[in-house]
Amino acid sequence: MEKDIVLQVENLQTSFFTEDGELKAVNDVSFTLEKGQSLGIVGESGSGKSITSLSIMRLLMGTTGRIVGGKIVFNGKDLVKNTEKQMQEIRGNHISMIFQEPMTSLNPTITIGEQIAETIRGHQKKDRKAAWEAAIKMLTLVGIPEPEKRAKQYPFELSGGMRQRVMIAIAISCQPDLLIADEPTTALDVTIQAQILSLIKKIQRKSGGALIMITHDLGVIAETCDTVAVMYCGKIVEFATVHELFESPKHPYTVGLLSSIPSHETDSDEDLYIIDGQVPSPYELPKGCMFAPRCPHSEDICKNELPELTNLYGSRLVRCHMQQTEGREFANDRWKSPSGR
Amino acid sequence: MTGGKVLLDVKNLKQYFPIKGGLVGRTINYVKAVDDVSFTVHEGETLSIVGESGSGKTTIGRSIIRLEQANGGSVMFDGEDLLNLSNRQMRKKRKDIQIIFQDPYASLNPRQTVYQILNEAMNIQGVGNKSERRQDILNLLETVGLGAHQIDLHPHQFSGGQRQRIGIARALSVRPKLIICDEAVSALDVSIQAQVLNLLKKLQRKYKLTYLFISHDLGVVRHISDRIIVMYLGKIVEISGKKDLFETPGHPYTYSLLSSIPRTRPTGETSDRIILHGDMPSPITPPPGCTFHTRCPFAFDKCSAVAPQFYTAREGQEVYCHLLDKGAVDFGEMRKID
Repeated sequence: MEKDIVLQVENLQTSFFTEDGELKAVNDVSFTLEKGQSLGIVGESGSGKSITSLSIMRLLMGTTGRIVGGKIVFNGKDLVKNTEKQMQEIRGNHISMIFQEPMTSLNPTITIGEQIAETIRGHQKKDRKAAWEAAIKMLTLVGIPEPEKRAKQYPFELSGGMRQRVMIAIAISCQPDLLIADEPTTALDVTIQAQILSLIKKIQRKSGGALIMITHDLGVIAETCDTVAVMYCGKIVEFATVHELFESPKHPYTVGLLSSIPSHETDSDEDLYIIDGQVPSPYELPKGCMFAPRCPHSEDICKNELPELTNLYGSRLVRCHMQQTEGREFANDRWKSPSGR
Repeated sequence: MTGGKVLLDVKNLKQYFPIKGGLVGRTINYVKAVDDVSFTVHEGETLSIVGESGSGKTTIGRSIIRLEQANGGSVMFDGEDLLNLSNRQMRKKRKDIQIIFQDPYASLNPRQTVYQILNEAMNIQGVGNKSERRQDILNLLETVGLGAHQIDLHPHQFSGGQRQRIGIARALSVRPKLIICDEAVSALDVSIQAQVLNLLKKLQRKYKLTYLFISHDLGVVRHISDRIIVMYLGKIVEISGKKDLFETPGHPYTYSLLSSIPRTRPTGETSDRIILHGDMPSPITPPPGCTFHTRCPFAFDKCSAVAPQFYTAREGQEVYCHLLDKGAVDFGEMRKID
């Protein structure tokens, strides 16, 4: 049976052109997303996860960055070939985005009701009154108490969690097919984060749209996503369903990432696992596997040849020579570091 | 590790920030950032303060080291009340109490080299011998995991994690007894965060340091602490040993805070979670009685009228909640009855 594919990203390459040369922020990224599915993209600073989402939205103008290769097929059409005018038609209407900082993404001089209504009028043929009523309905949907009163307030009168609810209301006001949430809860406290995550999940389940959740927090991924792409230095190093990833991570970087998180669920007096060194400079990427200089399992081939993203089974993809040639298991308990480093 | 001697004894600490308003800029009200907080820190332990934004956790650290002038209470350190010291005396005292800030870039002078940064700190406190200074600094850098070749570099030439190591080296350079870590690893990526946390633990063993560790990240706190203080709206709601706090939290706020953290594994099972409704009330006009009663799923009449005193849930676990007056509390069970 043909699956209902909403988004298909193929070999996406996005680079920034700076005085120091070309910076390959997103380097050959591919994934597909079906209707009703949620995909998590996880990685540390500089992994290219946010630039992937900005590329999909074509929001790179005004920067030195541009898409230098690949396709972004959304509902059967390649977004890379779209004009800015065509993109404006798509943004908000078909693809929406929630950003990390709700204060800077909202206009401080316009009431929140106006801002939502503006979005609705911009994309749907509704008059002022109908749009305002629709805005109030959206505020109710995202769980803002006293929506009629709140609609007349300005962003500064709202708390961080409330602002993020408004952002979500704007994002979903035109029932987009795809919602991209870029670190939507990073600036929020945990109790508020729990509220917002459960809201995003509820809305996605109700609308049946697709969701891309971009975050550095594996806990957020565990809670909200069906599948996960782990990014490192602009490349996907592992792709798995959320259960597979946490049960048996296959890439040494994923294993390292998972075991370096201090857990609030277990006690341990042992040192945390450490991934040695740091992310390489994007201007001087290693020749072989990007992770080889920090990888405790790397061998000669890793330093010289870039491994392909290879299918292990089902939808499971891993970019690692050691997995491909030997199918090694990097069990978590083997990943304890020698103490005292 | 709570058997050690009391190093820091904070009693009834109050830190109110005035709000100016009106035509003549009179003080019209106060933000009660820290409101009547008491606790002790024992030698060699790590005591953490957790809470959400606006709970007052950072302000406590800043009041102790006198970056803010407290409005009341006492902070006894080594037999002296820090709040009564003159600025000159306090400067000398900061040799024993150091602080590491969240943003390692903002807290280092961008025009100074690592050598100058550490040298300045040691000069102010008159630590060590000037002729051996360079060697001392090289040793410090090695201790925090930086290389000798980096001694003459400027902060912008380092990564975030390395900058935090410089901040740690600066705090260590004057050989303090107590280090206040204010969100010291919050700005770092997890793999780098793990490196810095391990370093802090190693240094604690090596130099018998005492940490007052301020953080909002409960995973980090569970990893590094011996005891934990949970703050809400300027007040302590629970003080407890690490094990008790995470396994049998005594305060409903602690319980909901713990249950709000995303699981580290996808289980799909979140039915025992308590999602709090609404936001934290304003610290300018905190609710009467227990400040948490407006969001507490278990609040009853007394909670909105009387501020709770502490109850001892078990040895070393003090909880400021009226529910404990009724006996032991199992929030998971109470949740099911609802």
